[in-house]
Amino acid sequence: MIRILLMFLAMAWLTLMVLAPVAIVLAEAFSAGVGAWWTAVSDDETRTSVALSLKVAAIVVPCNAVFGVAAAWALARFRFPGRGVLLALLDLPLSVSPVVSGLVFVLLFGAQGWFGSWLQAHDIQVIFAVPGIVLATAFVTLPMVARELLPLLESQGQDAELAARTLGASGWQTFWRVSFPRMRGALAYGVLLCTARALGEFGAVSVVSGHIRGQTDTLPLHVEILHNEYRFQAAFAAASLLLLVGVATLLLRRLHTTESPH
Amino acid sequence: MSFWRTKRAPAAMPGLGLSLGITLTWLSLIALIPLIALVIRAGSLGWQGWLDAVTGERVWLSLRLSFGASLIAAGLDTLAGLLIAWVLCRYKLPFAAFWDVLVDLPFALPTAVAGFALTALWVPDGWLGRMLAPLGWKIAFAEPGVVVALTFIGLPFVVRTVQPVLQSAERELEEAAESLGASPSQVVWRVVLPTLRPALLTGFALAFARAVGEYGSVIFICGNIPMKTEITPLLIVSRLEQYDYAGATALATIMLAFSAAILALLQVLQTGRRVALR
Amino acid sequence: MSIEILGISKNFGAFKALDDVTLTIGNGELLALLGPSGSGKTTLLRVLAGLELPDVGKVQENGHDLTSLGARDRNVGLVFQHFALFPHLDVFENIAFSLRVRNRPAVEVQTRVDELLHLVQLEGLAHRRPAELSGGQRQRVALARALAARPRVLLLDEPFSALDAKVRHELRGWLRRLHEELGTTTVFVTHDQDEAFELADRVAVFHRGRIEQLGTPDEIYDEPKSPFVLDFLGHVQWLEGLGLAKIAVRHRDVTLHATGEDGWAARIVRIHRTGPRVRVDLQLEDGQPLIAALEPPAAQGLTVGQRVRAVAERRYAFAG
Repeated sequence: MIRILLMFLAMAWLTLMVLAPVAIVLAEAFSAGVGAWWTAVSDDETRTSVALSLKVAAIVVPCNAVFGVAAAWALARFRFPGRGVLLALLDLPLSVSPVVSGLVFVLLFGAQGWFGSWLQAHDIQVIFAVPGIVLATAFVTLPMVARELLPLLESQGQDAELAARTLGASGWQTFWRVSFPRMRGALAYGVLLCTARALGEFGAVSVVSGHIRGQTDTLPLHVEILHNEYRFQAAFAAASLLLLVGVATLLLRRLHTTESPH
Repeated sequence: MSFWRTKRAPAAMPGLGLSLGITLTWLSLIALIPLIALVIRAGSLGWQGWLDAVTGERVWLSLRLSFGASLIAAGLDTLAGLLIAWVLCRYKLPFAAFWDVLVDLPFALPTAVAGFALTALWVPDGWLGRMLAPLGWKIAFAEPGVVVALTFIGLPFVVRTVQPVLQSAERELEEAAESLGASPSQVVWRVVLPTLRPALLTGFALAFARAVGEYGSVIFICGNIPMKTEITPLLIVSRLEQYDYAGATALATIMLAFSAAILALLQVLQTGRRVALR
Repeated sequence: MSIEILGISKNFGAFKALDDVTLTIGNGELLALLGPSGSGKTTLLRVLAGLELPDVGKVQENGHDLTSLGARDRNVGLVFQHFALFPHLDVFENIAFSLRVRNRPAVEVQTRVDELLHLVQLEGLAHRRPAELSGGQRQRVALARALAARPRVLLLDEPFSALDAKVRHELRGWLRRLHEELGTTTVFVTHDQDEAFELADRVAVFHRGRIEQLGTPDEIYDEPKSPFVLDFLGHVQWLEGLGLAKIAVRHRDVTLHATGEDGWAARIVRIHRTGPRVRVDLQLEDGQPLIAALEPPAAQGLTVGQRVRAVAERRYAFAG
């Protein structure tokens, strides 16, 4: 009896609080039929915003992936003074408010910022332009690859690498022949998470972007603009693209965890 | 006799210099220097200037709403998260994999999408708002809307911290309690909940921390009514939009200090947990 | 107070964990359930504890049916393989648990727990957490906890397997003395024949969900009823073609003679010391290996390559 009640409550909560918001995105996006949905997502402004989001992700994700591998390697394979502090700092970008993440770049590069006048003198636009969006996105997604790799490297231990060393492998040979193949799965998954987050980041980007239509609106910002203009069906259609990315990430994660239960 | 002079073997594991170099460079450029800049900038306001920027009724009301709504939301998440983790781990739920994936959706959904999906749901003529409207309950564009949005985004933090502990918690502990004469409710209160306490606390702290800083999912549903439904991140943004950089910076330092404090707390909780599990 | 297990069967899916097991446990007896993993011994222990419901059969105590009684109401003391101490409670509260859930007065709890702490020699550690104890100490806390409510029977699941060799030996002797002192009927599960033989009054050997043989350690060692039992006790060599049936010879039953016509002609392949005995690896004329475990004096003067006569003092053969 209690068991059925608890199961019912859990399913009811998930349905009302989690499933319903997802369902309404799809329902509204397709409320005027598939044709209207297609018109909305293939609209010029939407396409430009998708392109910008992809471009930002294409810059940010490789950088954070290299960073993630390096950070996980240093933190999992070595003990050095300040390691604990570094570990804590790594988590900071994920726990700080996205608004603050955007603000710090405005303070550095904005018109009133430290480098503001210098940038203006050289006619370089960072804030309210693509570089600012890239920086804010990089900040927000900074530790995402590292956090996937770190527990894996910790649990693997370093026996395999030490064995390779005793067999005469050089440092790079050890990395490419022994370490890298064993971290490929987690790395791919970290890259996936990082990409999804980079595409979907809203708060930090919204602070630095300036909402210049057709120039600095990423897909999530475009959704907001449409919403503020009361073009709800178009807003939901654009949102359904982001929803798709999120759901795809979840399903791939499911595959990843069932394949390699580390 | 260089053999005797060598104090330590050369490091067998390669790459400390390179990996640490990349790590520190990128971390400094992207996160550390900007955050330090924020603190210095706040420092340049002077004590009085800072104090002026973070006092006043509008700031106070926004902080109260942000922290209050986040506390309520994290509390709701802890209850619901415990329930959901329990049901997922211990019972055979129909379509269990589906529900399990559903738990992570708030993680995966961009906050902006979550924000106005929730708004559409809870406005007085929305799917769910419609049911509450006759009772005179207003969710969207009012304080409860903030709680709803923050509860939405916090749920997976609790479920995903409690679930692995529940899964690895030996059923043996419960069997031991039962064979020692404990009734089912005694097993829950004396054994299950106490062993889950560190995980519940961690999940609560994570959900709370995330909720306090949250922006995207709240701004649509809260309706942006200054002094009423304005959360602190929103106030920071509106100050920025009015080019009040000093005011925005001062508030941001409060948020940053809070994040750092929560991280420190989590660190303590985690070490505590490791000791308990050893 | 004797406990009767009557025709119990238990299946997990297609796997027969217990297959028509019948057994009577005498009052005050110390009984070992011995067998390899998956042989059903732990399942039987869990049935006795009330944690598993048998598909068929009954558990009775002096004629009273206990089968459908839950673990909570059976009042058995159960010690888990990995002890299952409550990590959030200190030693004192772990031991006091069964009294607390029965709402016993605080004074009684204090007296009883002190008594048990003394019994398991952990007086100074009452306020330690389980995480701060050694393996042997945890084991003793688990035992004290199981004994607190004066159970009618004490059940131990592989009680020493999580401990290292030295502690294991100390605790075995200690448990035997404790049993003599308290006289509580005790059933313990083990896969270690030395442990079963050293501790138990009687041993039940399990194989594929059935009791293969039940008897005193002497009976089982001297008169193994089946090839499985003989094999499981170990240190045995199976030989073919030396008579009608396949026969088995225990290593320690083999003697070596430099001359004579008895036994089988063999050549020494290797000689090495294994603890108290000397192990001599032999090869018979037809190529089959044979091992002799000799007392050190008997191995004096043997050399590798030497030809000897190997005599089996006792041979085991089984019909079918």
